[in-house]
Amino acid sequence: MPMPFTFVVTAAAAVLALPLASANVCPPLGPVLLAPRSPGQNPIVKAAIGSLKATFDGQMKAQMKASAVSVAVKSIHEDGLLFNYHFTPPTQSGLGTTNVDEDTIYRVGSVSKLMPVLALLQDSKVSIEDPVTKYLPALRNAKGSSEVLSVEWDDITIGALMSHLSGLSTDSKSPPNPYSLLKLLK
Amino acid sequence: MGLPEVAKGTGPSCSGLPGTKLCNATDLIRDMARRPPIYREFTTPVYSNVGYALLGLVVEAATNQTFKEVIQKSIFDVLGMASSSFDGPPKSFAEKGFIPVKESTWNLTLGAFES
Repeated sequence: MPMPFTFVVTAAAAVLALPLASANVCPPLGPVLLAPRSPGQNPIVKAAIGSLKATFDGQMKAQMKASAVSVAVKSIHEDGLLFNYHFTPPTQSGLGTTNVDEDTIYRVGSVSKLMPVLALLQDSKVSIEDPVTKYLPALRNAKGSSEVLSVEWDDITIGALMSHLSGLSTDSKSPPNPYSLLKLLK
Repeated sequence: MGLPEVAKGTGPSCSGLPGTKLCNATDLIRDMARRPPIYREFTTPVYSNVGYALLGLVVEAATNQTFKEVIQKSIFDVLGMASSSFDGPPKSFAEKGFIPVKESTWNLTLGAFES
């Protein structure tokens, strides 16, 4: 039941129709206003980068005792980085690097969630509108003790999982069944 | 007051965190039966780590390769991401990695939750 995707397309079409219907509207960004091709040369951008660095220097020293920080900003139109900032904290574990820079390897945690999404979007055999049961039919057996406590696996699409719209819980820990607590269901 | 206690035998059977066993595909799918939906699909967003564990299994089922192999070949190799890895740190981590003090989970692998 992948309604939200259909809805987005319809809404986008409605927005595009607006400038035709009324005068004196702001032009849409992008096609009309040219993308900045050399933001690194722009004096306003340069000043902003300078003040961002000064703010970071102050904040990191004051607040980061044991956490490293790396931030980089890049324009797709320039080879170099617009902003490249790395902070090595005073308290360290003795494992790994003692100098944080652009080659430092971090534990990325949930940033890795990009990877299964990219892999599936690249796979022409997989559609984000496919139900998850097309690939994992065994999920149909993963049912609770009643309909209310069961996931409708055939209605959960690949896109629903990607966009956190599956309605599944956050983690494996099973919350206590609220209906049993109220003595409404076993 | 507070949250009710979780009854014995209703928790997850695996996680990969210290002191627990790794979840494989079978464990993960079986444990799904213990977990009621929080909302109906497409109604309300819930950040779901288990949803992403399932996506990792979908990658494997759709390609007939391991998740790790697919990501290595179709993303890391293509983009030259030589310092990225699943299932534990890359070789250069000892020299170039950052690990904060008192962080004990950095070299764990999480089985079906790697994705």
